[in-house]
Amino acid sequence: MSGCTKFEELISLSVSGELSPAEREELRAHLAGCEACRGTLVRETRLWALIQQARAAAPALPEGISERLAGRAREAAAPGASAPAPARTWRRRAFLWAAAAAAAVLLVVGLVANRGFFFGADEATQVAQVASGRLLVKDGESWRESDRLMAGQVFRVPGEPGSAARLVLADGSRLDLERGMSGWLGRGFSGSDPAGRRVELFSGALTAEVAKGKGRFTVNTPGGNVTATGTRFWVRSGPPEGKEEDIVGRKEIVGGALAAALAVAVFEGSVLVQSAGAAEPVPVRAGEQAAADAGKPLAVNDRTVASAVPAGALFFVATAGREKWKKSFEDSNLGAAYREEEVKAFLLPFIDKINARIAGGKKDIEAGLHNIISFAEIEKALVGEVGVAVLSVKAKVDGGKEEPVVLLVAEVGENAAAFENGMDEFVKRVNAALGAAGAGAGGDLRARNYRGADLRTFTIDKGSVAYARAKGYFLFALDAANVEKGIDCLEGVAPSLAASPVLKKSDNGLLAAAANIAEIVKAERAKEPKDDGWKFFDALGFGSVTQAFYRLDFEKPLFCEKLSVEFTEARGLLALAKDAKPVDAQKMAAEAPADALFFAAANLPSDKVLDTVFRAVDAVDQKKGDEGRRGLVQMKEKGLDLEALLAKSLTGEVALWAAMPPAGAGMFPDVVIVARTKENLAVEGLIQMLAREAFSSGAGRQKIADEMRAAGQEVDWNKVNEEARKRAATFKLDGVDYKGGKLYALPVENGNPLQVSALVMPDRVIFASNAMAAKRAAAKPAGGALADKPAFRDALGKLSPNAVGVQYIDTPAVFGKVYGTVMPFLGGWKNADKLHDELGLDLKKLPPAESVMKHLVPEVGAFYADGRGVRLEACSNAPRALTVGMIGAGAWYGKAMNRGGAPAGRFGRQAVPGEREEF
Amino acid sequence: MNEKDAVLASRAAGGQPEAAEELARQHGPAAYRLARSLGLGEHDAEDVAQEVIVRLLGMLERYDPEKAALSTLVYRMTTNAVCDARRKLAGFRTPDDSDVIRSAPARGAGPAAPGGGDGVRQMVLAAAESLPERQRQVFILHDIEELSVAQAAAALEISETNVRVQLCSARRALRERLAHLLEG
Repeated sequence: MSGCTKFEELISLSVSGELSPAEREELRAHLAGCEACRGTLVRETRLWALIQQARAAAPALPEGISERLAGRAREAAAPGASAPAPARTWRRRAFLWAAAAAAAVLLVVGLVANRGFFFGADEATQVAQVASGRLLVKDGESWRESDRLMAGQVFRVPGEPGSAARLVLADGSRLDLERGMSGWLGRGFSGSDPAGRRVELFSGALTAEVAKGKGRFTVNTPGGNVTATGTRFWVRSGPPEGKEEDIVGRKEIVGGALAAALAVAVFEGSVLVQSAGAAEPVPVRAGEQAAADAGKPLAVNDRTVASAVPAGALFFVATAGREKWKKSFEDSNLGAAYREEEVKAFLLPFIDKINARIAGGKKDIEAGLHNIISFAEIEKALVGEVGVAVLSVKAKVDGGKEEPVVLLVAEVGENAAAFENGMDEFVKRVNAALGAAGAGAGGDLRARNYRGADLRTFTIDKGSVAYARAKGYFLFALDAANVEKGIDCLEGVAPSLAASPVLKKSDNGLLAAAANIAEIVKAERAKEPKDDGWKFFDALGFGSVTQAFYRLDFEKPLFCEKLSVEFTEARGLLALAKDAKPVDAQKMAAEAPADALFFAAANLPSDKVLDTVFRAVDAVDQKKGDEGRRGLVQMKEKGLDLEALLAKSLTGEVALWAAMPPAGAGMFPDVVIVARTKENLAVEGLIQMLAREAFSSGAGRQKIADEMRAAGQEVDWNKVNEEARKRAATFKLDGVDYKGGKLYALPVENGNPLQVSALVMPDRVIFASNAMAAKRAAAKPAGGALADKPAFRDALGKLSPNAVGVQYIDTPAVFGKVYGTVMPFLGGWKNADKLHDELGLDLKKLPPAESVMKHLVPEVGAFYADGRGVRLEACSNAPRALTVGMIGAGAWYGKAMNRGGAPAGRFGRQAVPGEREEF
Repeated sequence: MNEKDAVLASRAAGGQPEAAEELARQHGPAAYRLARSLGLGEHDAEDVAQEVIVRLLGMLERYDPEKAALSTLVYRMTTNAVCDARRKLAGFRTPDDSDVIRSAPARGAGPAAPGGGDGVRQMVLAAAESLPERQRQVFILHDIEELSVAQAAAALEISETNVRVQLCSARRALRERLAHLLEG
């Protein structure tokens, strides 16, 4: 028991919806294995229902209290009023007695009145009014249409399309009745019923919107009961293929063999589901759905559109509703920056223009389609999660191009009817348009019941669309068979993508995508099975890749992304993933300066690289493998022993960073690479080879050309190159001793500020963009180490542990640098006016860097690898996938703007005063 | 920070009678409702609401909207005022009128099923009466007056963790006391 105390607290807060996503997950995990706590949760959920009723029954304010309080306040605030003194005088005991007695009498009268009402209740009390659609009520042995409903009256909704009905109940609750459902309502809606408000559902489905504070609300079905403590849920009863015509009354259902399956989905609040035969009820909360076959235990799952997509789908992407995106952006650092007046003033005209363009584009499309569809209507219905899946690729029958088989799934929840009606409207408009064009009678709309869902197919000539409303989801495909596949998944008959842990629903999820790499490759391969490229593909190990996933969550104030690739077995080149070791980013960052703009650290399995690569190549072609090995020997003869370098010299730990040099020491960031080493022999070989390369391609050529000019010859670059190669073969760079190591500065051309230098220390080698930077990197960072910077630690703490590679960007600083450099040039850009006219962006009114910078925080990303997959994680100010997309769009737009015009304005080569180091 | 609070407070502190009235209309009823939920009768609750409003007006000059919302202060002052009032009322008590403060039916005397909201409220509040004072305050503020954990913590000047712990204990005790209403 004591171990569960903490969870008891979580349970208490869970019923009022006050847990963080992490706590909710923790509680859920615990509940799965703790029966005692499940019991506590059930009782707590019931207590919460009582508390909600108590809340709703708050006594009315006494008449005139506001006036009296306001009068008292006016007196107290009046100038010259004496110091506020308590106005009250405690009344006498006699008065207390009177008040108590009055309250008690009221209470008793209330109870008696209720009771009287109960005993005298009229059986024929009207409990509901039909707000829309058609309702049939039982009248003797036959059915007649009615627009109102009495307590106990058996009713059903006809089976034809478009006949769903909406009821408004006497207590203010609402019921959306789906086609073909049947049941009756208890008296509790208009008066008192010891059982509370009761809906008897024989078969079919309904969505209930429960009026608050009116007591218990139960939907009874043959398969079990659903008690509402919340406000909105969907429930379906009946054997999946049940025929509503067979049902005439409840007795026959209960007495017969129709013990039915039960399905529930909760959109808001929570319900208790007591399935037939189960020992105790199970709470189902908002965002969850539950189902039980007759007599089987109840299975509770998250509501996600992925649960309607077959597990083998080639591609799937799901996005959260617009409101959630909007809220996430508002809560993000970007949102905070956008709220800055200057930023808003700059961006608002742009956003207005874009919106106007989108609106215009939509109108054009609508007009092009004869106004058969209306984007406004679609957007109104699509408020929840939406997913699109490519189930397969099929070739067109008439030999045309291949086309993807698409299934669209939308979480429509309680708005299902609106969506369905929208589709009915669509069908009507298509037929009207066809009629107007003189194209004949129009399409054929058919409806049928598939596993308890309402499936409709609309056919015109050879084309068709199919759609269904099932469990609060809307499914759409061109072909009814594919909608059926989706329903099979929803009903748990076929495996769905929701089983994948990566696609698991989360409260802050914005986007999730999955690609079935294995199936895509299989399909591509089938087209060109003899292509040698596939052999290579296998050898690299990519043949064992099964799925790729991407997901974007918003974790205030950052966007967190996860990209993962899974494989069945780490073969070929992927075997390196198996050998990857966690990197000690903290240790590596201890050498980097705290003000680093960028930092990356990795632990590479360097000793395994050559072996793995050659074995992979061998698998394709032994000859190619041998060629590679010969190349290695040649390199060794030239002084670079790559094998020794990777296997013996390097430990695999590498760090790279960029940081601004101290004030006055240049305006470009220093770039530093540090590689940990075991012994340095091979490292020196590498440095000499780099020196020879630098000599023959730059400094040497310049020197030889100068010599030719000095000798009065014309410079013949062919000769120069030949001579440079010759001299490079014997070129040797001498190191200079520096603090127990040796510093090598590679030869450079005159005027080049970049002088790559290498500092070989006993346990590591430092490469830097100039010698001073190399020296600085060898010492303890003067202004503190990055490892000790709280922002770095915090950012790192947001990611999963055991990364094999880590990357850090001081986003505010980098943004300030880049923006500060580019901003002065942007105003003078030759296309600036065009940009202003077309997109509303006035480059002369760019907001100051500070207005954006102050809202940004440093970002981290990490790379993970093991025998089963590789994974990327990043938490950033803006979703990286989106940033990449925006940059792509920007580049495309820039290109489009320049097309036909003069070449893009160049900033011109800047003469940079070289920072030459003397040593 | 709530700008409306800041503006209203400074207007009222400046001696504007309309602002004082507006403040009373905005916050007085909440004080009254809380006092009722915390167990006072109609008249005593109204007295407490008056007292809270007058005291609030008296301290507006020192009010810092960055530190707390006006509503937080109202909840805090009301809770304290009710506490004092109940202590004074207890002084009037004789052994035979121990149920004066809350005239609610004892356990089992209510309707068998939670059909009417009034009855349920009486039963829940009666059960809450038996809780230790802090627990009862947390329960009433959070569960009955619908404050969030953070708001309740601010009103009672205790930590959020403490609110969670107290709430959990209160709910546990109530589950026991109301067990007869919680069976399936």
